[in-house]
Amino acid sequence: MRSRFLTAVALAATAALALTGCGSGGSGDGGSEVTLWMYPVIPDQDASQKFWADFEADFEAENPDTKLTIELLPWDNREEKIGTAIAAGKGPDLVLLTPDLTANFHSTRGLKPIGAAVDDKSKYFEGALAGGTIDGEIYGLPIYQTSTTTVYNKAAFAEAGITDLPKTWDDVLAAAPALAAKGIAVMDYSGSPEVTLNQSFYPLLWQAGGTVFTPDGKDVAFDGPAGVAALQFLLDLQAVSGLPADAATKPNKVEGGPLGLGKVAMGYAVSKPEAQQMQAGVGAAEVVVGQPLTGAQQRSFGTPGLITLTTINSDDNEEAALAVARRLASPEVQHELNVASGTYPSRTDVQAPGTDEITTAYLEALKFANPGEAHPGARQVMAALAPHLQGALQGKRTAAEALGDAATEARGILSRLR
Amino acid sequence: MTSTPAAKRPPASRPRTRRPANTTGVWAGILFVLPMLVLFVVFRFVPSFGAIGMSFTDYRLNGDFEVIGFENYSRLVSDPIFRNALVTTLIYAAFYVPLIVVVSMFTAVVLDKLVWGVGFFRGALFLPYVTSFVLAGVIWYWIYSADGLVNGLLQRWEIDAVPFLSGNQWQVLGSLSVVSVWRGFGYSMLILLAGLKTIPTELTEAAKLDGANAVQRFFRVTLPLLRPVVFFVVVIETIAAFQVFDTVYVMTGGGPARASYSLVYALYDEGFKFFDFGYAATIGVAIFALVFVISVIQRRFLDRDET
Repeated sequence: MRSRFLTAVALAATAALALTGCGSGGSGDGGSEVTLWMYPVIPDQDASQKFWADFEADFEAENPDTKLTIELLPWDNREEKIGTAIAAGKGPDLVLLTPDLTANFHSTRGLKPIGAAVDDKSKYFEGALAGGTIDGEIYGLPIYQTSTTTVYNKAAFAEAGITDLPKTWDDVLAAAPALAAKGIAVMDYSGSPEVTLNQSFYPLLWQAGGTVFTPDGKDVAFDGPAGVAALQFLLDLQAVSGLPADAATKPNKVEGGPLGLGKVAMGYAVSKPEAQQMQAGVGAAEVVVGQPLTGAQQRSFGTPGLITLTTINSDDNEEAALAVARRLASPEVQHELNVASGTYPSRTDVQAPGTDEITTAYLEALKFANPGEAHPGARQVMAALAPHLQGALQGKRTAAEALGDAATEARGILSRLR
Repeated sequence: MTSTPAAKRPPASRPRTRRPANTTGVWAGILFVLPMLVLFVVFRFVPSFGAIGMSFTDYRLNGDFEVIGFENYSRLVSDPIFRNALVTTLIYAAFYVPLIVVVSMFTAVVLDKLVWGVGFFRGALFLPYVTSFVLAGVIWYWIYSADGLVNGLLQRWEIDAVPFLSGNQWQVLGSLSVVSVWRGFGYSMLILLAGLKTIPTELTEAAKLDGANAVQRFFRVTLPLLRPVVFFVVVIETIAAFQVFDTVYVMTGGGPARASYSLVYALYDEGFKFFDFGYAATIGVAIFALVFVISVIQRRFLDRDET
């Protein structure tokens, strides 16, 4: 009897464990369920939670047959989490991506077209819509644009006796020694492999007149003269202590980082929320928002935030997901999001988020913005290039050698893209 | 020697009375190990065989796949990044395994000799093993950083700062090994401590009476008797060294310039950053083969006379 009882207990435990491991969700009340993965576009956590909770409630009030769930996730490891979710078939119907990630997930067959959510193409800024368009089909619906530009710590320059803030590479190089003498690096650079090159090396590459890929996308172009000039610019700055000592490995945090602590005098790819963090760190009166630096060209990084439709979304649920996307891209929601997040509109019929000096400067900088080169191998090429840039900054390779080695590796990656 | 048929065959009534009781006991035993067995099969066996199968495919994010034979394996053989990751992992293992065995052994011996506070010190030394490594990684990152604790002290003594996490490969891997040892030695320490407790005190006392000093007693009596346990610790720590990921992920991201880009980091990148699941599975199979071969070699040299 005791043996039978124990056997029954063991069987029950086995069944419970097996079922725990194999559990799955899902409801069948007849309505549509849409899950959206959103990220800290609004950096303030409380403001972000309130904004998206309000959006969720408003949308459900207008669309009573749809249950909308907005999950707020951190930026960290975004592509890994999305990729794992799509592979598992459990995760978001809609997710926010950048143009290069959209191209990446499109090439790995993780996305469905979302063109049906675009009410009127002519209402969108051409560059914003182009960022989510692949082979003539829209896979990413732009719901905002980001803008980065040059931001200065005026007090740091004044301490070194510099009153004219640098606007060109030559100006930056010229200012470096005087600042270094005061223990301040003239320019920030973040070489950690976790930092997207869109916010570190690529803006300099674009300023040098170069591109990551050739126009047909079949080859890389960063190893050309422009790429070498961009990397040499960094190496020249490093040689005169013009970059942070750990530039090869440091992350790009402004708050608590050298820009926020006043140990670096300027950043060349700083977003508006980061400029505000810098204001909090070194004093609002000392922070000047300028225009993108000029090398051979005046360029910066600014990219559309794209809502994409994943292959997790079933055909039955597609219309509900498209309705959420349409609402997100609407002029009124865009304006509210722009105001709350410090971003900028992706369409022409949206009221500007403000008229203050900083907002105006960032809007102006958008004219020079490159949205990032959308290529199916963009992220893999970044991963190949980043360690070689670190190697050059560590003094192991010259600029030409480092980029040449990276290009060989990148060409191998491109040859394997299927 | 022969036997009669009667001796071969037990009485007809015996099996009827004993077999059901035995069978019940066996089945009850199986059922008790079944929960673990089910978990092992579902979460270890099936994924392992799935990974081997996946390594022969070009597996896409949406579940589509194409069988491509040995293409991933031929790519692996000619992949310089994989070779670099293999060398990096071997160097890391060369730092990590001896260091953790020595530290675990030292702390186990000290704990074995303690006469009071054993529980407290055992718990305290085991604590890093159960601490969240993300938090610990942040603290170690600060300890190692250019203006962190260690370099701050070095500067106070007018010694040049050491680029623990941004220097050459040996510096970076050595620094990461120290962090991993700090985190992991508690587990091996407990295994070695358990082994030390099984050694009869008469043997060391006899050696003491024969005039052996403490070092001689350790190397001539304790260590030989502990060899099966040491072998086990060396094997599990070698496997741990080949699986190094979280220390690298939190502290260096594989850098600088791939100085700490380990095999599992390469697997992670291929699988979860580039979504090339087939190639990632191939790297996983290669890691399994490497660990298996190294374990067999270790068994050949470290465990010759025992078991």
